[in-house]
Amino acid sequence: MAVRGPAPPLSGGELYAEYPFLPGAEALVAGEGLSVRALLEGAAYERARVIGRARVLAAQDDPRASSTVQELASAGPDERYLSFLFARLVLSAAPAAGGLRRWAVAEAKRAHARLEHAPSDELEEVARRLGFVFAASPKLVRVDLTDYVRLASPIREAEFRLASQDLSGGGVFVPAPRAARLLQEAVRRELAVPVPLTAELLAAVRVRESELLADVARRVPAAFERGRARPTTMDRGRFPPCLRRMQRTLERGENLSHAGRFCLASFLHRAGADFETIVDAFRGAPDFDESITRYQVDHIRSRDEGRGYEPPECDTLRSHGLCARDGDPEGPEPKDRERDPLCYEPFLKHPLQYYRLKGGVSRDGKEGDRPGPPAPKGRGGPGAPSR
Amino acid sequence: MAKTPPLDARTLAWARGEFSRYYARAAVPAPERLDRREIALFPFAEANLMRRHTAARSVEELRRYLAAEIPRHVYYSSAYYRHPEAASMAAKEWFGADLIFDLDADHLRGAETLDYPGQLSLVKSRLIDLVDDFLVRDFGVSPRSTSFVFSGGRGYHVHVRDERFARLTSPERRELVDYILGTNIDPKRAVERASADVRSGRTVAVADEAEAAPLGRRGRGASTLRLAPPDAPGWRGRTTRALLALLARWEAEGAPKAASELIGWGADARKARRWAKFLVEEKRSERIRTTLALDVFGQESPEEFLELVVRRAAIEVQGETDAPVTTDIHRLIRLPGSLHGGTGFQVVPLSREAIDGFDPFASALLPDEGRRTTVELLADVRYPFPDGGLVGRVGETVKLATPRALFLVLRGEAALRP
Repeated sequence: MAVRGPAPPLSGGELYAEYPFLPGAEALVAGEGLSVRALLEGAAYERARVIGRARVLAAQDDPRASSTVQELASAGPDERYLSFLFARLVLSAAPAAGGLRRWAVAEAKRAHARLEHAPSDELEEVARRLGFVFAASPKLVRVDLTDYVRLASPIREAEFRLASQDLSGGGVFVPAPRAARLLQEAVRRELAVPVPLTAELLAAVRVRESELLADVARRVPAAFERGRARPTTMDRGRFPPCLRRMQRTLERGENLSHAGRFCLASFLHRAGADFETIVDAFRGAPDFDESITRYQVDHIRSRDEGRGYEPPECDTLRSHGLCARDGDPEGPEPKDRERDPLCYEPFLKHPLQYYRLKGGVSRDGKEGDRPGPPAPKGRGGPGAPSR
Repeated sequence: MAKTPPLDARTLAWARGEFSRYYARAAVPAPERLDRREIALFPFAEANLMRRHTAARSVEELRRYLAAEIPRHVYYSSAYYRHPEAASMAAKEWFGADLIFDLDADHLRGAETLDYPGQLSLVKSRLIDLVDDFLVRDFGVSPRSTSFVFSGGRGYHVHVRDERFARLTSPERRELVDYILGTNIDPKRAVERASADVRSGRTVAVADEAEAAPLGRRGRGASTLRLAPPDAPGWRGRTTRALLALLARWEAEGAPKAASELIGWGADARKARRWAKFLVEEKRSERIRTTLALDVFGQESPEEFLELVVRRAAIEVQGETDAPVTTDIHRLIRLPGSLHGGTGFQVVPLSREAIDGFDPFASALLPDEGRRTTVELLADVRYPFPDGGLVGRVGETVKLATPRALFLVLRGEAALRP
């Protein structure tokens, strides 16, 4: 990307056009008596809907927003805002959450392109409106410690680890570009949650935009296999609760931590999954990138002449908050929600040990008896490049 | 969680009797928001089965429960639940958790070779570092929202009750732990490149990390390396402070000691002796300490030295805490004011001011009410209890104040006389 100087200060209207997710952006169209129905059906909003659809579809193919949406570049502030509202409305009505999540990644990335060059008082203002406390000084931005860990923990780059920050008195002092990246995450979180819709409105959106929603469903990479039967010895029903929860996280299109991604890939390999099955497991990640995932999965698999990296043992999973032996309140089946007694056996030290005890067959039989190699440094887990 | 040697039925009944005397009268304090916490306990029984999923609506109810159950170990949840008594995590409905830190001799570097009293005093000094240096100075945690507890076993717990931390998830808490442990820190962030400002003649630090960090780069004009100020935030200042302390120690201990330490860390022997001579005998170390400038190496590139020594200094000041305890948002933690079933020590809540002078042997044991119990020692023992301590040889039969007898029996170091 070309290096630009600081962007000029924004007027209120421009601020909302650039950051349409901000509470208060409604003011842009305040005089128009806008209703959600009108946005969905009104002839006056046809152009907003066209741009909105482009926005939705571009995000599905390119969640990292590396190319610009042509329709958007030529639109005026209120059209841009309306197209954003429309996109959010339609994706909130989608039966699966994957489309909304990918769009949230893309919109956050788009906001970042602006934030990266924004003056620090603009960063402060956007953060404030999103509910985070950023305080800009000439050189650095102070971010409240708890806000920092909330925003930084899903970011995988090593330079975002708290241990590498200047932390003092409950404040993290970051250079402006790092603050902009944190705000990107704040935007993603904000947009990844569907807006609440009445049953009536939900039905109306699904009918009117059925074509768009079908298109989105086709473009969102399916979590796990797309109905292709592959010969594999792997038996998912025998997986320990932690691995089942990791799979559900990705299948719901939610972010899985680096440690979780590493564990899932290395476990699946040992449990007998073939290359394509492992790659497919990451398709649900909101930032899934096919080529990078293939590269990373291949790296994990080929370690030790094809034995692959050792999946982390139970202690490590616990310390990363990945253990689910107490049950996952969000699990779909009773057995997911309940405490798993096998995990509480004192001898149980390793997820593969669980898998074998449940009758699963794994590539190698020594986990739990010896420590595995350390996880690779940084957070470049499979599924995605650094966002 | 509860590591306790097996006791026979008669001993269990005796120990339970002693605990019952305590719980009949003890004014166990209520944890904050008691009615939102799960209570769990291990009874005095040969089978080590935990009883979970109870809750108490009031402190009176909690005390009645303890007096009736007479638990060997009792815990409460660091988490707050809508339905703490529900049997599954899903039904409990988590809505927050205290931030907990656990320092235990079992996980402490350098504790393996110490006896129990030695371990306890090492843990205490690391606790003070954790609280003052990391929690208060860096995290900005208020001592008012923090409580400190002697665990009754081999360590201390820190409970931070602060709305800002309560809803942090497990991976978010992991960031806090990694910060304390210094996981994957780059100690060289404590080295800045200072460039001489030609116009003003002053030396200014290059604030931009990207410019300051790479040490390998040469030929950047009049720039020199220097340490971050000791009061710089985070690990930069901490690393400088550690390095300055190390240099001061070498100055006091002399060049040969410094050289042998450097060799121990992997330095080439010839270089190590040259560096030690240069720093200690030629007093360059003093210059570093007073100016923070690392230009004392003359023509020789300081990078190799820095790589070795700065890293080592940072390791010296890495914090200690048991990571899984902090990252587990459903953790059960020993109830302050209860008794530890492996020692008979009280789980003592402490203020920050009280920590420095706290000695479990003087103040955590139940008071001597004049009752005596005769036990046979199963091991050589030596404990620094007040009034001459508790010293004895394996095989001896001794008559002890009952709380001391209980301490040894629960630790598996003495048996009741038949």
